[in-house]
Amino acid sequence: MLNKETFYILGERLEDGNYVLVCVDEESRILRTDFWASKLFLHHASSYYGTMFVEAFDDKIVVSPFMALELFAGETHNQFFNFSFDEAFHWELEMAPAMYEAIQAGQFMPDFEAFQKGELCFRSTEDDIEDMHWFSECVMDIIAQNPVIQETWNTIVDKYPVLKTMDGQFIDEEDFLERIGWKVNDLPFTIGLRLNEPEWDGDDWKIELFLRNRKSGDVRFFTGVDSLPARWKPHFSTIEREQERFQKIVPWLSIESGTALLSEDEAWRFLTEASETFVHMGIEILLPSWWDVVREAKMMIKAKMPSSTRGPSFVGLNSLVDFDWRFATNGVEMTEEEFLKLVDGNRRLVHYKGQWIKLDPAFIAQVKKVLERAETEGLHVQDILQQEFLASDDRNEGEDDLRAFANIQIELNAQMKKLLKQMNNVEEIPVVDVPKSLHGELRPYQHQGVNWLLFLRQFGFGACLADDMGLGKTVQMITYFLSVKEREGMQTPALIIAPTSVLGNWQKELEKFAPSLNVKLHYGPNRQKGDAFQPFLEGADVIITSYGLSHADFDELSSVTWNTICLDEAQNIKNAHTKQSRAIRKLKGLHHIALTGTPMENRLSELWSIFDFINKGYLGTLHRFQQTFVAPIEKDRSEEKIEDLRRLIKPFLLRRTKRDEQVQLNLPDKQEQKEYIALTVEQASLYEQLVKDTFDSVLTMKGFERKALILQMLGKLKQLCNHPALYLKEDAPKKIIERSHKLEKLIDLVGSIQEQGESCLIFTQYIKMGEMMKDLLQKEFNTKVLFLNGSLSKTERDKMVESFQNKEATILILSLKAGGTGLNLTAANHVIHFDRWWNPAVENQATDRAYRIGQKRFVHVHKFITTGTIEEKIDQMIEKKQSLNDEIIQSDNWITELSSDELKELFTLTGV
Amino acid sequence: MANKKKEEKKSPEWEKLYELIMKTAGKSSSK
Repeated sequence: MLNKETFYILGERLEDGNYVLVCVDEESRILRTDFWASKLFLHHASSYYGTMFVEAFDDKIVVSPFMALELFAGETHNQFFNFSFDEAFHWELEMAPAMYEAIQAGQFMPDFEAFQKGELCFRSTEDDIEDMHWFSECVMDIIAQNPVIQETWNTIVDKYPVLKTMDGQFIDEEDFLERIGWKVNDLPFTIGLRLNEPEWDGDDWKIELFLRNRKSGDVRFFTGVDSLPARWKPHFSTIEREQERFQKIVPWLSIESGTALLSEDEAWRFLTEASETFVHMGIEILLPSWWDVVREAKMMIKAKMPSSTRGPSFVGLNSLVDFDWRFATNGVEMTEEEFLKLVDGNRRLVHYKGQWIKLDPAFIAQVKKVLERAETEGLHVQDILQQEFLASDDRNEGEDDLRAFANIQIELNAQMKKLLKQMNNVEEIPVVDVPKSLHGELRPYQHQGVNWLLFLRQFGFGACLADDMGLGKTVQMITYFLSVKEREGMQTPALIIAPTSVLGNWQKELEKFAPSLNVKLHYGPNRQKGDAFQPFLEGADVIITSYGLSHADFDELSSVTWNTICLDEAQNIKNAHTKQSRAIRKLKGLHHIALTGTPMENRLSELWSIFDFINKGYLGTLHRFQQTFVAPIEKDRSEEKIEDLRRLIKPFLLRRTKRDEQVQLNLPDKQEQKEYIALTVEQASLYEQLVKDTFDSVLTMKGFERKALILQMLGKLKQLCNHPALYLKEDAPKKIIERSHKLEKLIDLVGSIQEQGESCLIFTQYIKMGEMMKDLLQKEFNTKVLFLNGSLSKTERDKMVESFQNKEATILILSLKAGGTGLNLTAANHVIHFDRWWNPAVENQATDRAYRIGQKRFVHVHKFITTGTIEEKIDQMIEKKQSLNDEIIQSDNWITELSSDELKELFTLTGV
Repeated sequence: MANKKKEEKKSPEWEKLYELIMKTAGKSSSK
């Protein structure tokens, strides 16, 4: 026999049931695991012969409970090495062989005592095995280590879920073992319960215990020992025991001789709670056949609009609407009175109109809340619109639902349905005749726009007209004013709030298209304030004011309920928190209209501000709007929210673009628009001073001198109309935007053009002005601005034109002389004449740079004209003369031929 | 507590589990 060296295995049992083992040699030196582990487990296949453990370190290993059992039971004997176990393992070494044998022999079973304490364990069936815990851990370990066994175990747990839920109410161990399938029940029947509805509504409900024949499946009701067939009588005590168990499971359920009578409340509890508990425990429960449907049936709250022979009669989104409440569930409909009567009777399950219905307490509480809210706050037109516009089947009724009454199904009457249809389809809106007082013609889409505005006015719904620049929002608005005056008369004037740079334009357009309207401007240092304000309004049809004054003169402007409030360039109120925006949103008008030329769908806070002006409250508070729409759209790009918002705003937002088919058909190839702009105070005083200082000299001069002086004066005045710095020849002018409304207007206009991704040509006769504009626009829009002027070489010009045509730059400034002829600049579809040439032929030639054959797009020509100045007056003269004889105005000289009176009239600044 | 002997009739799933556990324990002991 070999003289084998002895190694000593030390270690301990860990809390999780695993064992940690260490090995030392005869001199108590700790050995490395790679030396001894494989020797100790030489024959152990499932640890891959000592190479796989729960954990292995350099000097110790951790083995699972069953591996430890195998080890201590002597199952890993190695004939070449002597392993000796430490005294600490004395007990394990003693117990292990019997435990190991018991497992091998299948002498173990689920532990009922442990189960009652909430533990799932196995115990040995052999009396001599004491440590039940280690034993159970070993069985569980075998199950866990082997996938096939694990799967079988899972099948058992799935079939007997109480092994997972651990909440069974078992009479005794035998009952437990039967319920988990460990012991097959030898009863010839199974025992279950059936709930019966009362014959008459309001009577008691009845529970019956039934026995189902295991072989045939037949059911027999048990009412006492006498009801059992002779062969089942021996099982009477089992049935009684089961009855007791049922009561243990559901303590309030008292079954005697197989029967229990239940109140409606108890029946409700049985249906909604107890039956589920029994089923969970594997007990068969028979419920009335209608319960499945009724359980799932939701009760609908319906708000039914009474039908009316007249059209909708409300005004404004906040108008209250009358409704008849209806409740419906499982095909049964009730009036409010009927429903409340049932609720008052504290009923749960009611046989009503031939159907069983449930009156779920949670639902009733919800209904009461909704009804209470509807009673105190009322149901508003706005609620209906939101409901209808956001109607969707798969909507989650969550916190972020904008709809106040999301749980109510609103049944509209025919009139309301028609109104909603019209709101969603501008084609269906009734056509209103164009007022005869309009001096001009509307294109079809403009007529439609006016119809739309008037239609919304009828119901007090605000409107946002967002047609593309150049499609004639102003003329639509003016026609609207005329129509309103004709149809309703005006108790108070309409108020137009516009940027300073377009105040003059509004005046001019109103004068041109609607001379019958009495228009007053509330602007400038001499405007009427305080007590003088009301008299100022007398007789006026339209008051025009600026954004700045809407805040400064809030007291005056808020003292009137305006016939209409129209915000031009409504994006000016986009910052909801500014004083100006807040002031404007507080003004009162019978109808609020916003005009804007830019799409707003992507600028959500602007959209909210504008809607808060036109339809207060419709999009909720700003905070709510941000939660409901801004965050999901901007952060998560939620398509659903984008669509929701689009549907909500669509009825109140009309936007046509130049690309719309309908518009294209009606649009000329070229549209000229005069932009009337007021002088600033600085410009006006310089203007008056210059005329005062120079004009007398004109009167005393004759011939060539006179002509020269007139032309010189014209030049200076034109420069002044452009910008005071140009006239004063300032080298480094400051605050340049504030000093000229033309520049202000230019920035607004170019901004809109840029936003639409379009290009523009800007003509000026002055190099200095061109340079000033170039610097300003470059800074303002952070983009390359080209300036084509006479100082450039031919090559430089060609390069510039090419880069513009290639869209490398979208703004091109031209001095009229340089840009007038021989250039093809069809990349532009906007032409801006910053100042005027007295010779229309020259101006038209410039315009034609963009408007040429090859230009497929509509060209929009903007002519800037300062009001009350020579620019406006000469423009008027050209218009008159042009119709008489074009020849006369083929050169600038015609002006110098004017009489002194004509000249005086021409030079004097008017309307300031 | 009265110990249950394994001759109790089990459901097929339990029978299969026992069979597998016994087999696995038996295999490990193949020296």
